Amino acid sequence: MIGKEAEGGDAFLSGRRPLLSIKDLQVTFIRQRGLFNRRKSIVRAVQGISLELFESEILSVVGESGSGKTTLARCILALNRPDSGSIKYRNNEVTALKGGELMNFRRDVQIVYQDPYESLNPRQDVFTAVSIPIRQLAGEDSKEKLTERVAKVLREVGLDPSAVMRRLPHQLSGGERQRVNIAKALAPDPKLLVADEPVTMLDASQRLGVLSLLMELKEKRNLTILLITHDLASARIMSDRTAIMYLGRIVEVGPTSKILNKPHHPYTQLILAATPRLKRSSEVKREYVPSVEEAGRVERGCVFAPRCKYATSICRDTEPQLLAKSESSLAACHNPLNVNQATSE
Amino acid sequence: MSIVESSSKVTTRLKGSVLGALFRSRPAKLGGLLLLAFFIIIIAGTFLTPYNPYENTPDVNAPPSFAHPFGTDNVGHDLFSQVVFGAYSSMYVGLVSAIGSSIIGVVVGTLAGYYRRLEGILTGTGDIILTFPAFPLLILLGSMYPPTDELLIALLILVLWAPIARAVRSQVLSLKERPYVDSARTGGMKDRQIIVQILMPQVVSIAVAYFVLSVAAAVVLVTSLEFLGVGNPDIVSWGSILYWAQQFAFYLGDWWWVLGPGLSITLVALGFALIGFSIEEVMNPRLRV
Amino acid sequence: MTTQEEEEEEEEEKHVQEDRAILDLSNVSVEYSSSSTEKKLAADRINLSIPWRGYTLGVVGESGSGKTTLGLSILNLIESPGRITSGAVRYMGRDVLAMKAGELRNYRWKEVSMVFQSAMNSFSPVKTVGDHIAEVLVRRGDLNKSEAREQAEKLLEKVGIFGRADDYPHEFSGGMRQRAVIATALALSPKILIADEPTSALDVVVQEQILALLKKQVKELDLSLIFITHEIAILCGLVDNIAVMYAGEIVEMGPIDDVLFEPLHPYTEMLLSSLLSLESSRDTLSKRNASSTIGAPPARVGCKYATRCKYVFDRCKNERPVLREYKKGRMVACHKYN
Repeated sequence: MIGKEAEGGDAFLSGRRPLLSIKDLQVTFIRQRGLFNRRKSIVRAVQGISLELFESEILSVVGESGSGKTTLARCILALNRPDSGSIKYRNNEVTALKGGELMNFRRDVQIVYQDPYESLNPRQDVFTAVSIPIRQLAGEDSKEKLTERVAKVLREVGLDPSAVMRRLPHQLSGGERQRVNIAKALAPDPKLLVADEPVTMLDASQRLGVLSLLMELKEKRNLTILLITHDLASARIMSDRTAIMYLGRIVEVGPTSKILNKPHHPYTQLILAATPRLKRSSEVKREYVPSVEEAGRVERGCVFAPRCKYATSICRDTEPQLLAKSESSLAACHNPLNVNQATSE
Repeated sequence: MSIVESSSKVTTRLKGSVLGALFRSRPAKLGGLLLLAFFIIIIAGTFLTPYNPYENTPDVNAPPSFAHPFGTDNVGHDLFSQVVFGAYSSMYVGLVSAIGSSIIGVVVGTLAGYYRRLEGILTGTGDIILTFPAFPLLILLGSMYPPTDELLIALLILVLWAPIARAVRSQVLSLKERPYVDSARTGGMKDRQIIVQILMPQVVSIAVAYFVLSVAAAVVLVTSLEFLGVGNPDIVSWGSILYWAQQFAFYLGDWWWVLGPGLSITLVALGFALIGFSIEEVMNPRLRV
Repeated sequence: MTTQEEEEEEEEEKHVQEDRAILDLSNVSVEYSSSSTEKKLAADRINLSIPWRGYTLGVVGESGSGKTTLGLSILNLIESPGRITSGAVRYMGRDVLAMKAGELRNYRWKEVSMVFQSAMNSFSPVKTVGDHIAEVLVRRGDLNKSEAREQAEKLLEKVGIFGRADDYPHEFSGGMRQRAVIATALALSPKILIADEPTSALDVVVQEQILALLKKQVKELDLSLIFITHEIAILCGLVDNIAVMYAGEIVEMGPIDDVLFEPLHPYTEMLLSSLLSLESSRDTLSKRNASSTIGAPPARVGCKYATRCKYVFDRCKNERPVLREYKKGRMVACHKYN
């Protein structure tokens, strides 16, 4: 446990308090434009994100590249420091953690990275890679105990320890590598797992298997999972709640089935329409929507307005706030869809 | 992964096969040959020359012959023995300077690349040194203090560490962004461990390339300095031979005077340079990944 | 019309009349040696043809199935450590693998063009996007510099990029760069475009754009598209026909709606059932056995899929099935249908 618990008993277990609480997170990068030209441009990666994650739930954060979702994940993992705002894990401010407390935090909060190849050190074999977190975070030093624990977690992710323990990353397939990454993350027995696009770089036929594994592990170990993805299909089968991010902001959040069946925000609707589905040729419609760059920078108003087919004058004028549009879901939109309908949940 | 993907990935992954690649590279082989030739000449010369490099013989201003392969100077010194004798101090200075500057360059470069806060100071200092024309700086400093080998080494290190630091820094910067470094951090490794266990081994290869190139550079620089009179011209070294050659050879028509040092520097500098560039070339595709 | 163009049209007419395909691969095999002892057959006796202009084909398979190798061999781009060990690639009757440098120059980019997944990252950072395209036009299209520049701008406009020909590649987003790549690939009006996972690294909305763009080009230019991917769903509404590859072989081929909704080959069946789509629900997760995704490696004798096939019988272990027509227009390599 990090720090002291709040008044009387573990409020987190009863589910009353969020395990992870993010308030008004802001992260800005200064990017140099051009090789030889010194113009700097400000990229507001994360703008005022507030989000709560409750114990034992799976929350998906869906967004395309440039949405800020990876930056958000990195801040949660204490890899990047935000410019302002707070991230609290069990009432402890993540951005202020140092030393031993930081190590305790890392033991509790782990991440599965997106790129199965790049997240493994090419010079380390599987045993080394998986044992490092156990050694560093759980303080386990004995070679036997380490081997035992590593073997155990490798089996949990569906790998045969005797077959893979001494292998190097390039000797494994993409799916196997990703399983090793999951094993690495689970090795110190964390409570919260952030999965950053865990299946995006895998073949389509392997994705279901890996997600299924994550779900199994989540139930077995009672994990809380923050799933970061750009794929709505993954969000649908995994998560209880979903948050949709666009250009650094959360534009919609609520129960997954509600959001994906009757979305409030036009952007959610756009991604839904663009997600490829197995359909007969005659049923497929393709519509051209301007991309983010073509839409251009927006100085005021809703940042999605240039690409939105429902945009009205207020959209170009005032930035919409994230407010409840129906019983349990919030959306940041002046002209939300699917309201005034009987919410069927 | 498919064999198409993995076979191309394997060639771009570090597998300690730098030496393997080197053995195949023609420039490297040529460089190796030159150095070998030089080495043989010097070793043979050490044991075979009957003359003392400081000994004045009556055979003055003699062109190259069997007895004096590089001829003699105006007081009868056997130039070949002088070249052989001078080789030791030139190589000593060259190697030690290269080692010293490589170590400093690697340390500074790694720190500058990893810790953004330190970057300003360290890179700034490096930039200042890089901008200063090396030669005038060396001459200036060299003339201010008593000319010993140690001084020369110190001066060369001062001038040579910056390019190494720069190369190391940029490699560390790009390595730092790799997901497996992040993975090491979330896995609980501390900064110190990451630098030493993960980054440094990757940096070694480029450090070696620059080390080899630095030897070439150092040898050329030290000879040039001594040629210009920095350092003691009365102690035999390649540079001092050239110094005296400059004083007398042209008037006396002793064209062979510069043969010895010239040939030696060419062999050594070219040899190291070829190997160094080959290492860098072999490194480059990996750097871009 | 120039005499060369007249000649080409004549040749094409001849092909259509004689019922010869525009592009024909017969028994093409490609071998890769990753070390002196390890050799792998990336493509194993592939037979494929593009019968007429505007014929679109999707090639689907997991990594290692040989789909990329297929694309590369059409352009004779297989490089060491790989080599084409047998078979022929014919374009309009001409033997591509026997072409000399000059002929290849006229073939690649002008007749058959290719877009790779990593193409969007292979732009040189010191040249503008417009310059990149113009260079191709000058080098291969025999235009002069200013004509090429003008044409480059027009090509970019065709793919929806206006007024940004003077920008550098890093100022473009991934999607825009990929569109620029497509513009370059279509610059010399090829008859066949091979696209190898062009949208894998892109977001869904951008992907939509690019697929819509390709569809448009196919219609407008009567382009034959060969789209290689591991994501089957992308192909819906984009191509008319689909070929499924496994372990270097084509195991099934036919009109896309037929293959996807009434698959014949057991591998196709398995592939379709393991797909994650918006239609999947939570139950799909629990039904699957989490560790069953790592399939057994392909068999060395007989049918390669026999080691994973649930319908396997004796003949499968001994005899390798050949890709044969089962119903009208539908080909499958499986003993079940023999």
